[in-house]
Amino acid sequence: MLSCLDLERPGRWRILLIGAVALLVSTPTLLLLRRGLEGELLGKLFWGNALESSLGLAAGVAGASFLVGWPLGSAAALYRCPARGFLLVLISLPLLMPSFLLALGWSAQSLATGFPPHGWLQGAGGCLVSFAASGLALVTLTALAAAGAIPENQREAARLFGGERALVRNTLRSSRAPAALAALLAGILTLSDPAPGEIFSQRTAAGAILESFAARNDLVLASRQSAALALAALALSLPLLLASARGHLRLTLAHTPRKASLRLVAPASAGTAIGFLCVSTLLMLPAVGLALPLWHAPSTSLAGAFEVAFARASDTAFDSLGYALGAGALAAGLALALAAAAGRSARLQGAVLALSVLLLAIPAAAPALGLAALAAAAPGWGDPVLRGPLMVVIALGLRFLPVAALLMLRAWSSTAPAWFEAAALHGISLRAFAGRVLLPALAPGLLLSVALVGLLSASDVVAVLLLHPPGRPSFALSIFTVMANAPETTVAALCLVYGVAAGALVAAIAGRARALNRT
Amino acid sequence: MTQLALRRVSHVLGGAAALQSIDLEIASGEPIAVMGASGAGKSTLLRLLAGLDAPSQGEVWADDRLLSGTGRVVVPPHERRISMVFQDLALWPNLSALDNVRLGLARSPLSKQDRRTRALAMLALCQIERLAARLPATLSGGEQQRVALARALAPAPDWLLLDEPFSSLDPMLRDQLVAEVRGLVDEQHATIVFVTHELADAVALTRCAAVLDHGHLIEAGSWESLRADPKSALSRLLAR
Amino acid sequence: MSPVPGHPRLRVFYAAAWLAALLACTKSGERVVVYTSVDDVFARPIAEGYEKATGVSVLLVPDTEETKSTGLLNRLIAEQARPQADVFWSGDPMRVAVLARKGITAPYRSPAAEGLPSAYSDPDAQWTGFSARARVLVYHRERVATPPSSVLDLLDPRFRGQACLANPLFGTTSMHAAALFVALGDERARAFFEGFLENGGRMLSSNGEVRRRVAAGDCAIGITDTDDANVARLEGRPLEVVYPDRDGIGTLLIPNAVALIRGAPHLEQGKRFIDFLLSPEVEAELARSAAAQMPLRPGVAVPDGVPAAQSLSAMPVDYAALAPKLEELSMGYLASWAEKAARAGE
Repeated sequence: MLSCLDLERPGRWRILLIGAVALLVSTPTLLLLRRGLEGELLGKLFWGNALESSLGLAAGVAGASFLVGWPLGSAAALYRCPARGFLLVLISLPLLMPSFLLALGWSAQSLATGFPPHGWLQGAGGCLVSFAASGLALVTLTALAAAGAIPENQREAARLFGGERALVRNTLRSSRAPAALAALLAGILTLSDPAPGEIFSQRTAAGAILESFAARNDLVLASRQSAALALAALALSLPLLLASARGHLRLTLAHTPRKASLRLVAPASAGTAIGFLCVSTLLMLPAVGLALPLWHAPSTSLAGAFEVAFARASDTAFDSLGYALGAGALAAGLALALAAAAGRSARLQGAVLALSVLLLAIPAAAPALGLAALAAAAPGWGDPVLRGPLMVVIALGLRFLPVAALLMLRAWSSTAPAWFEAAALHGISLRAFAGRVLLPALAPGLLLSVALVGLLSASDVVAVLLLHPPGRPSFALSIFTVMANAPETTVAALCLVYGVAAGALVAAIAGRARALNRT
Repeated sequence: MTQLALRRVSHVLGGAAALQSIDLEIASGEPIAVMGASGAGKSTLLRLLAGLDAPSQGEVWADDRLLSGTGRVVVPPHERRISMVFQDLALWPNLSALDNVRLGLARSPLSKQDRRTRALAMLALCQIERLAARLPATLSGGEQQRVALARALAPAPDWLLLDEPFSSLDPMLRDQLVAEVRGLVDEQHATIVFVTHELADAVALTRCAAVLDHGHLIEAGSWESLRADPKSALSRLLAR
Repeated sequence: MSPVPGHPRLRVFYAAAWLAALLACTKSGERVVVYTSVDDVFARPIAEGYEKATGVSVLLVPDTEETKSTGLLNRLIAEQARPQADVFWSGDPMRVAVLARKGITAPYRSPAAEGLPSAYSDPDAQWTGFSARARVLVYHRERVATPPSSVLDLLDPRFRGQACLANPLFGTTSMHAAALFVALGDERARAFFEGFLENGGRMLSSNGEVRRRVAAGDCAIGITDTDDANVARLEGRPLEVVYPDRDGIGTLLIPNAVALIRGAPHLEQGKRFIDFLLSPEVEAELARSAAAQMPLRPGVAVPDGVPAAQSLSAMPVDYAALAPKLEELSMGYLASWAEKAARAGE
């Protein structure tokens, strides 16, 4: 039985726990991938230039997300600015938008208004702007969380010794590692998503895998390609992972009980607000593109369209929220276990990040189909669980576990070793310590994990399509399945209702987080 | 327990020798200061006494009971009747001052109500009863020190380890707390092992000292003996 | 004081209760589970009609060809050991033929299929064809003076850089591509696809995108399905439709195809639903809907603007034999062509 002190000491249990979680989360994918090991292992993978194109795109998305999101999130943690809360909500919205919607929105926007020019969007350009939106949101929020945890006294010390510039430099330095890792994850996420590539005619690895799944129905080839893609992603991430394992990327920040306050510093606050506004405006363009048909529609058509949209929303709200909440809770729980196991060991943190890269690079269809096959092979009495909503929750939770893992590694690192030691000295049981001290301290990180994973899960259509119990789709999936031939006003109304619901959800989560921070 | 003893204790930390072949006996009722420059091994020594780490070599004894051996902790920290005030105080941030002290009584046989009473009494002893409901983040440095002290004293330990608890306080407050701690500890019949840089605080609070330098024990004994026969820069300072 | 205001345990309880309700919530009563690749907009009213008529719940699991997904086909393959679906209703025969070859469908000769031409169904009754779409040319009426008449017109220099079609690896375009290879022969078909690219033709993501681009005037001409074209007509877009190759290879008709799933959990309900789908009433309703699907059964009333299938010069196709040809092309020529087309579009 573990004690409080064991959570601070090296031990075999750590690698065993990481291994157990890794095996658990990989099992659905392995069920499918083992087919790829049949026959010719190093057979032709039908890549063409797809792999290079995808890796380049991933690097581009990671780079763009980092370059914009890192300073933006860090500034938001330092400075108060007008409508800060609203702008943060706006910038988070792309996390809730399925990538295919973003891509179609950009396409529609370009078609209707001529901006951006169609030539910019064709190929890699369109994929980059579609992916960068959610990547940017992820990096911004991570940088915000990381920079926000810098103690007040450190900020004051920086200001004292070097003025505002020193504070900004110090803040950027502190948030650099988490932001870089978030950017890495954002880039890796693009590898397994075929939608924008299909829409903008950009050859990608995910597109090639989709062809194997959907056009050739060749599961063996698809699983080999998925494994190769995951290994390529790992190779691409190696420099960053090694840096993390060697402790060069410090996720750790000293804990302090005093929360830092935001300041209103005229040029900096204004700059922050303008930065957010510019980025948010750009990110809203696809939403405008999707909503444009509503602008020209007659009122009767509008009424009908919104009636359909609200009906779909209400029919799917319960399941959509359930899938998202469940996935968030599952991911946060597993991420907590991984963070506890990794502890403060840079090497183990690197191992968790490597696992995260592998998980994210595998196309969502692979573990989903593995779970579907598992359910089919199981006896019928298991159906309420194996063919119920829980499987959707599991598929989504495992898919986005890496996001939660990054946040929980960071949250765990911000606890003080002395808390555990003091608890050990006083003979406090691990259960009491976890309930009274540890979990409340980790609560903000847990909540953010649940929220981010929930938001990402809400926009997923692949796993939901393949696993949802008949008659229980999510709202995003409902949009996905009607948009081919529904009237444009109906599609636009659906997207608008989805966007507003998503915004309300993000605002509610942000409000909750603010309330937590105040206590 | 009448004596704590370290016998040929060496400890390696992060690849470097933090303590080298330490032989030290600490008698009950004889508060001792552990002094030395930064990196001398003072905090490491405290941690080994508390059982938070096991020595790389050597043994830690309480009378004739083995507490820790080479590479292993035999008696866990909470069974050693040792309390500690950590350098960063280690107050649990989400618990009020009262709850911090109360949770520190987790192993106590007292009932829930009695634990609350005891916790309030300790806070009163430390003159911060009025701050019982406050979170550590809302307390000043000195107030946090008192909460940490109340928590450490609540289980009525035989030994109280203080790891530079006053380092971040202003001189006036530090003097005040040193005097209070001395009174409190005498009242609770605990023996202090006090890690500090401040010679004046050490002399005020303890009767003897052990001086470390780069992990070696240079000298140990009563203040008078150190003054009479100084072997380290510190005791030479004392003698002046 | 805990940082989580209120009662944390109560909140955890509420969340757990929500999750428990989510897991426990199941529909009771008689039901049939229908997986469909027909667009939800068209399939759902039919399903609701069946529910109203029979009181049997139809649990519809829709997919789409529009935005590509790994799709229901793979779900059916993954579930084959113990399927959840009773019926697979496909928008074209190719997908269901794949399932038949994998032994996932069960033969069922529905009594309601009487009157449906057998040429559109599997000879072994693994699937039955009904209500068809057609592959048509669409063009922007203000950009094209002389209407095209053949798919080969996409190679016409007057349409240089202005023609588009959807990715031939997916959906009805893949079926059309396979049909062209059979109808024209491999050499002429390759010449068509190569010529399309040489003429600056663009490969788009879907038939819906073809419709949107042509309607917006971004492309002058494209190939799509009749349901896409009809949606544009209903929206008042400046789009004209041509049923191509009346005097040549003919217009490809793409029937819906419905199949019973082997080992279906509600076998009898599945059969009843198939009977319903194959009825003249459903063909009439699909004709009236925005899908504008042509009844294959002679004598079924059609609204204005929807031709009777018999009135078209249909491309002679052995639908059952087309699937292996498509498979061969998907692994080979079409895959490399799609790659080339994507690179050309970058």
